[in-house]
Amino acid sequence: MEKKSRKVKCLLCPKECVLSEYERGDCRSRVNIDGELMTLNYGYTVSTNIDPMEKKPLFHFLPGTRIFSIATAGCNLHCKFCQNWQISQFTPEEVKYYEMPPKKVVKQAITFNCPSIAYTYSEPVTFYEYTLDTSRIAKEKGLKNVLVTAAYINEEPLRELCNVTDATNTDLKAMSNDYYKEICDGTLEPVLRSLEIMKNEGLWVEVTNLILPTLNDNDEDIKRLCRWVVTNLGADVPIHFSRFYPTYKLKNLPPTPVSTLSRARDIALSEGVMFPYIGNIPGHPGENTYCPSCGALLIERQIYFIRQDNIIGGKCPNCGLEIPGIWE
Amino acid sequence: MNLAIRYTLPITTTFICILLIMFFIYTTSQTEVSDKSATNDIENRRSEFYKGLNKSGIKPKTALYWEEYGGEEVPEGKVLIMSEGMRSE
Repeated sequence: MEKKSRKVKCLLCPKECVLSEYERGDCRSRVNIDGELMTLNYGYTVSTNIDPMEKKPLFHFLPGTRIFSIATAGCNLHCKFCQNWQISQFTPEEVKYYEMPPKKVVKQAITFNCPSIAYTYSEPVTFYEYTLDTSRIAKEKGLKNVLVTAAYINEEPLRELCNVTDATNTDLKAMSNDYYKEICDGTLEPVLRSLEIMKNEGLWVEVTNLILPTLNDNDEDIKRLCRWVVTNLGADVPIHFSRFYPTYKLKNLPPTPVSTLSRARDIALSEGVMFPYIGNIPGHPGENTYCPSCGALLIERQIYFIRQDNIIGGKCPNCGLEIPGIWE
Repeated sequence: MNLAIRYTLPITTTFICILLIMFFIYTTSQTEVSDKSATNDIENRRSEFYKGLNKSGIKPKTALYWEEYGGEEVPEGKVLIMSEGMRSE
């Protein structure tokens, strides 16, 4: 007897994979089973940690608090510099997992006194249903939800997720579509659209730009990125310029020079970014928060820890300027 | 001359008809093979998929945001990826 193939089209991310039976999407975690699209990573964490909020990095969102962080296997992008490729570039069946249903995640977060949960490390878009259900329960219990994401997602599912999300650190990998295509296996436009949606939906948004030597480190690239953020998201959106260390498929590149990151921070300041930060260089003064009005030191950081926090009631103690963020 | 036409025309016509019939039989048989091959592909993928899934103990759950796809061809630029044990390398 002949059997007709029942294809499905995934509408979660802009790749919109069309799958015949028993084929899986580019994210490796969604598969067509008998004409029905199924997810394989719901409730199966491959990494669970209690992190400092500063590790996400989120510098203007509940600073100094702990955040319960989870990930599953899979990612819908394939960045050649991925720091977590051991979990992001494999199928759920290939990675050792722990069964942790949404209720258990929330219970654990409460048990360990974490006021928030991060969906992070790999890509929460890939474990969309798990993130959504866990976030809903967390919200009911008074916890906050944080997405650490590349934001490569379609508008409708993103808006649904925004209803239960409080903050995001989103990777804006470069302001070049070619870079997204060649280095990340994605495209730029959906990421920009997602950032605008999240901002408009009221999430606290911080942006991370990983700077890779020779690939996205020229002044014009950085200027364009800063201008886009200032124009479309606002000057008060923090940008984290993060240092690249050789890994995965880009072991041939050197680490980003400290001078490049300092230059990126200077460019950002000159483009009107109020809170540009330098990441992955422990002890660099670019990790600190300074008042954009009077220049007073507001938060001094050392790696992921806070050495001093001078913000009082969300304001600069020196000039009284209100510092954007969610502080309590 | 007339004789030549009288005998060669029917022979040529018959020959062309035979060729057409053979072509029809050939294409039909090819379609059948192709259909069988598609079915085998699905069965092979199914078998490989469950082999991996059963070993892992993972229970699939219905996903959100998808639709049945009626198109015959995969649109240009879209992804169609085989499932078994795949890595990006």
